[in-house]
Amino acid sequence: MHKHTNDRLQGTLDLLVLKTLVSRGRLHGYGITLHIEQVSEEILRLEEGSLYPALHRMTQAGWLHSEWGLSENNRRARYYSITAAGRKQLADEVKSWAALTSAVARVLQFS
Amino acid sequence: MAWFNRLTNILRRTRVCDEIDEELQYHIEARTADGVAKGMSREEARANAVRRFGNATLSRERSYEADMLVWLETILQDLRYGARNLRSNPLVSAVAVLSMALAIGATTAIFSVVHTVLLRALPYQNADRIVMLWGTDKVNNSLENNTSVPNFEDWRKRTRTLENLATYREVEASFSIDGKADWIEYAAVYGDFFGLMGRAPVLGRTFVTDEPDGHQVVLSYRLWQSRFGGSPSVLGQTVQLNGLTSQIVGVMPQGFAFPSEGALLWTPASAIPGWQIRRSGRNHGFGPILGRLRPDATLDQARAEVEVISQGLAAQYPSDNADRGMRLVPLAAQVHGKTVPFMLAILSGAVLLVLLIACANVANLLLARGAARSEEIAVRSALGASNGRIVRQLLTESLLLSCLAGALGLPFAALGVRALIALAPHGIARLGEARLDVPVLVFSLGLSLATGMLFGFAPAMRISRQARNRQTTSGADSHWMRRAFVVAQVALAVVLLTGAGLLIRSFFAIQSVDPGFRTARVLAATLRFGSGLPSDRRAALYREAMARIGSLVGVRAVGAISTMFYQGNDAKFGLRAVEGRALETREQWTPMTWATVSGDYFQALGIPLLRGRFFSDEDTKNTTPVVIINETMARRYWPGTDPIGKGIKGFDARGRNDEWVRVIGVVKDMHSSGLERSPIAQIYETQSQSLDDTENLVVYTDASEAVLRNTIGSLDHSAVLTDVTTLGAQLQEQNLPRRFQTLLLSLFAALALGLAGAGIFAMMHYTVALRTKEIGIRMALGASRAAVVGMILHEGFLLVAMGCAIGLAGSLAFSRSIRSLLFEVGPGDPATLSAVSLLLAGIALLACYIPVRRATHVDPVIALRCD
Repeated sequence: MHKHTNDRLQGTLDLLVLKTLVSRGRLHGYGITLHIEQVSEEILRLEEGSLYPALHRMTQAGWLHSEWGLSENNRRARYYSITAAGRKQLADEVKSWAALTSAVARVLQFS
Repeated sequence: MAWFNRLTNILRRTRVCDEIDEELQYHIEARTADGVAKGMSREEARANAVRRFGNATLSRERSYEADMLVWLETILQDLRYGARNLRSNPLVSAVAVLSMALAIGATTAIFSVVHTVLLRALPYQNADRIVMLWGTDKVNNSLENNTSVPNFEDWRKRTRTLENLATYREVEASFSIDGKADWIEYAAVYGDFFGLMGRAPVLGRTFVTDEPDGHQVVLSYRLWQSRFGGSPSVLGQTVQLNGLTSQIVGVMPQGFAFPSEGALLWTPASAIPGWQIRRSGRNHGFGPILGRLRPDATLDQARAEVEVISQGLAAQYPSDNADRGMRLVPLAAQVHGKTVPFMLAILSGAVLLVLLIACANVANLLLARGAARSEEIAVRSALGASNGRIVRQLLTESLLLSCLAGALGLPFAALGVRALIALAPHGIARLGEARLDVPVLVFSLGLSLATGMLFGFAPAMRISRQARNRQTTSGADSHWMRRAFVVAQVALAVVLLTGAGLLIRSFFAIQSVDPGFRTARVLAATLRFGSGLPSDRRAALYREAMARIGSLVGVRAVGAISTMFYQGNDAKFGLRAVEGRALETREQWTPMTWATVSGDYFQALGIPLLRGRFFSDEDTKNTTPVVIINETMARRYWPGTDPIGKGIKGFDARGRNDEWVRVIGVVKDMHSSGLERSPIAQIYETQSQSLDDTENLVVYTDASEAVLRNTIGSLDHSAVLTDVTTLGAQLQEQNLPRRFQTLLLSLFAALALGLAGAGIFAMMHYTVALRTKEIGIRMALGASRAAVVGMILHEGFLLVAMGCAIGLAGSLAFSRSIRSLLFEVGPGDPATLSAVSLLLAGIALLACYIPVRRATHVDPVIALRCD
């Protein structure tokens, strides 16, 4: 019941999910997992189970929209798509991610 | 929005759960299918999918938490679980809920009355700023004296802490509309009375300050409804009040009942007879003063100022004011008086004791059930439920129980309020308005929650601690606590029973007091004639009434008196002179009354003549004034000698002041100030030599009230006969407050006894159940049934004895607080205390009966096998 201790990590997961849904449109959870794996060339491998609480949380927050639909192999699956609020959130996350990486980069370049 | 969504999701939790499962399932199956497509075997692919997925349970729970308002969901879960638990043991739950419902209902009913009568603000504008000023007499210690109009004018000019000063006089007079005669109480007001009270009339207007034209009246809502049918056309109509024609100018709103509920209308002071004399006579008491504290003044400042002004008035007008003081009383304190708050305090205390006993009972039941459920709780605890979670679960259950009881208690409370209104003595202002309104319902809800916490807390702590300390427990750990609860119950019941016992004894002691007069077959009534009639005309009418009634068939004696009963009259008086004795100092004065009788008053009441003679027709205005005295009076002034023929001089001016009034007879004492007070010195004079009306008829007769009414009705059109009753009923009426208190306290005590008995029973039942095995072993080893019975009874009686000991100590404190209600019995009355102890011993015996039977029927073989 305790909150995720690593906010940055959670934020990163949110960022990845939101970005995935922007570029790929409507996807189910497994599809999101596959996309992140493929694009990151299997460098980013999620603990797949932890994706779902994040999806539900973002849905309740209004960033995602979820609905049931039929998958490629004709099974019922829950599909997620990004909402306007989600896009705005993504923009914020991207900005703070960029700030973080550039800050880390500056520290690394310091000699 | 998300919040709302999460709230509504609680309502479809099963579906939310299923969907999460399905979603996660889909993921694993899709990954498995991909694995198979890549050439893994099905088992291999599935294992790989599950591994990559990680902790599925955690994922499911976290997703679930994201979708739900979890804390609310937990509470609902607790409630559902609690409800299931209550249902699983219906008998225990029913007993617990019912006893709490009774206790909460009774407490709510009493609170409703307390709230209505005492706690609500009086129906006047900022009533808490209104105060009353009563005159005091430094010599005879009277505390509620009237102030004269000239003194009132001085107060009005001098005060800097009070405003809107007013004064009023309570008056009774004949009142008729269209020739139909009636007799009413009303108030004649002077000063800014209506401005002070701050209530607008519902109809018409009030009269202005110090109205010089007295011929106008403002009706009370009650009179407007009862005599004018609430018609708006009442304005401008005329009524006959006190023999004068007055015009109705306004109607006050409902609830405006000052100075009492009996006041049916208000007139300017100038309407009362003799106003011109009162207006200027500084020694003619008119009424108490009313005023409003100025916004910047405090009660203490006003009190200090009152002291200063009354000293100033005493110095300035020593002949009239030397002995006069003034006492400031907040209006609410005056309206409520002392007896009603005291009575309600006692009833509240009693009902709270009942409530505590019920709480102890339920706490015990919960402990017992906790012991029975200890395994289940230990398992939950072992499965990771936190201590707090278990305590919360148990508290939720007790709150559920108490709220259920609170809801069930409301019909009891509604019944209780109606019963209280019906049973209560008359004259408790605003009591009739008591009902289950919003504040009372809020109180009831709060009470339910508080009692739920009260009786649930200790068991919850206890049970959860047991579950934590030993993973499975036999529950014996809570035994001492259950015993303590039983002891406490018994102690509280003893306190209530002792109080009730003392009141019952007092009640019967009073019932057996000889009133000193005949009560059977004596009709009593109040007869009045139009107050506009001249006094000799009225006197003739009274004589005529007496003669006509006396000639009726079945009437054995008829008489009348000016005042028959005196209420709480402790004012002390002395005679101006007693023949052959030195003048008394004021310190030697004692309570004394002086009344006028006519007809065969003493014969009708069966009051025996001890010496001398009764009045006769020979005693007239022109002969020597004569009086009859009672024994107490004879003892007081002529101890050991014959008072017949002795002369006295009275205390009021009757025109023939310097003539000796001769004692012609001595009669037996009667209890004229109620049965609880000893008789006081009484002087009777005859109507033919007095100025007073003898309004109170007493008729020793077999005839009915109707005959009496007809006879009076044909006498004079202004005759009004009221309060027709029997003397016996009148005495009962005087005893009504005591009867009410005794009845209620007895009822609460009986409830307490029942609850305590149930508590003892439950405890012993539980003890026997717990010791079945031990008893079996004892019996197998040859213990006799008598020994087993003795063992169980010993335990039961030990608890009761401890409870009694503590309770008796507590009851001394309680009975001391009701000492003023006790009659011929002390607070520590040994007979009452031993009766209460015996009663409890009897109840304990009864409560132990079934458990003991069960114990003696234990079959050793079965008992030993039962584990």
